[in-house]
Amino acid sequence: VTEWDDAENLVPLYIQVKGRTSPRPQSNLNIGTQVLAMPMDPSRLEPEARQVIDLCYQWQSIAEISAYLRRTLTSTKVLVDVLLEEGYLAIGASTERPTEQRETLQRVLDGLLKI
Amino acid sequence: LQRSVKIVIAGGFGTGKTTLVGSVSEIPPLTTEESLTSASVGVDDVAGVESKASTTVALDFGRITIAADLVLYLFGTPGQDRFWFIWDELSRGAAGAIVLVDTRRLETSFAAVDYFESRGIPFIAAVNRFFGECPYTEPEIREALDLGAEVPLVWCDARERESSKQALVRLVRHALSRMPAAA
Repeated sequence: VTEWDDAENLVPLYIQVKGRTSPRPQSNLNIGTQVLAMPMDPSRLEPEARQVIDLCYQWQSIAEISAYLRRTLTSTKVLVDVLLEEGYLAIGASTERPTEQRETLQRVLDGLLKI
Repeated sequence: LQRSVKIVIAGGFGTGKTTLVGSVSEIPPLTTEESLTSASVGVDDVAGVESKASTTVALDFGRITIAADLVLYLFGTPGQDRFWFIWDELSRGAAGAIVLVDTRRLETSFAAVDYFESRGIPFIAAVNRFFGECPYTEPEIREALDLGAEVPLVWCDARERESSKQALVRLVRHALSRMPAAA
């Protein structure tokens, strides 16, 4: 372990996220959107990005990543969006069609009644 | 495909939102923050505020895993009603909302009722019994909050897991009843 491994901000975050201040509109990221780490080697990523990957070996929402890493929602979204774009993360379902939503809500109801 | 469902827990400051989230969540409530400067919305309340950079809004949330591929997230709205951009973020695609009501201060829940009503988001009102004896009858509360006849009103104790769960169940049933029947 070299001291470089712990170095934060070696590459400023705004460069890591390509100078973006918001996620790409088409990625449609919401506070409840869930993402999952893909089997790619994250060792070349900067510390901020690796922290996100480390959390995402199970499905995590933008809200959870933001809370655990103490980043604002928007900065979390921008970072997650770049990792999605580069294939490090995969994304769960976003906006649902009404018929699917009905089925999903029924599952939520059944699940709540069981807990 | 992995899915998540959002339910918004709203109500005025101190109505027990975080308490309700905490009583049913499988994890202790987490807190996330948004900074006002990074929100791409013209929030007029902050126009002219000098130290915008330090202004953040915090919100608490919890989760209930329904199945390996389905998670329910409960998002509490920020204590301050004026941060509407966060309400929009929470409400987009939400299955519905619970508006918590403190009968000592009914007026603190007006904004939440208006918000969900005007956007057509299914919601129920839940009177939080935590605050002791309720001096009002259901019709009185309905009238005071200007609740439509179709909006369910339930009594709950946000500290009790079972009671909070029943409020969620009532909301999900209500949301389902408002959807068109499956084709």
